[in-house]
Amino acid sequence: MKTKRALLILVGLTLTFTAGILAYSQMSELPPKMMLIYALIGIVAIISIFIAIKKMKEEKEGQPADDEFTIQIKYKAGYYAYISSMYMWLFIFLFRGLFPDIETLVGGGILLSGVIGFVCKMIVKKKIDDK
Amino acid sequence: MTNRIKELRARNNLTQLELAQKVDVRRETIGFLEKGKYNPSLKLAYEISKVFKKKIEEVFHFDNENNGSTQ
Repeated sequence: MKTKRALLILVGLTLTFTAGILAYSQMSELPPKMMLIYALIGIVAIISIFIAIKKMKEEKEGQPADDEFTIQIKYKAGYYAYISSMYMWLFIFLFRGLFPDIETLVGGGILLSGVIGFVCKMIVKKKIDDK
Repeated sequence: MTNRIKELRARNNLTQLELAQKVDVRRETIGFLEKGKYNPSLKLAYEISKVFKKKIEEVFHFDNENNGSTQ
């Protein structure tokens, strides 16, 4: 589990660094669509770092990374994220003309899938809490 | 399903985190259990009852009128 957390931090920092360098190098001629992609990278990076720090804190308290409740949430959120991602890819291909190239299209889709997964997890948890 | 986890935890001077550590779950799981928003597995119900030295039916009560899963 420590490896997982270390990886999350590494991914988060790498993404932040990459997004920062790319945004800085193309600051003057950055089209709005690309800015959106960089913003997405930034969001994923911040989420990864935030989760990793939270998990490390909980590990220090002696809490397990997962239990039966969190696994159930993951299953449910995974199902919703899968369905939502299918619609997202459909829309991406319908509006593929908006993307400058195929790499941006695929990269943006993958990043958006990550964000959708996180949002679904939050919604499922909130729904249980509101009952 | 209703339960007496909060009451028994207070009687035994246990925090949510301490109980969670004893039954090897996360603290938030105990919180959701206490609020009645999550129905535990038989194994977890047994583990919790064992911590309080009670029978499962003394800790968890099955409500026939509202027998749907809270999950």
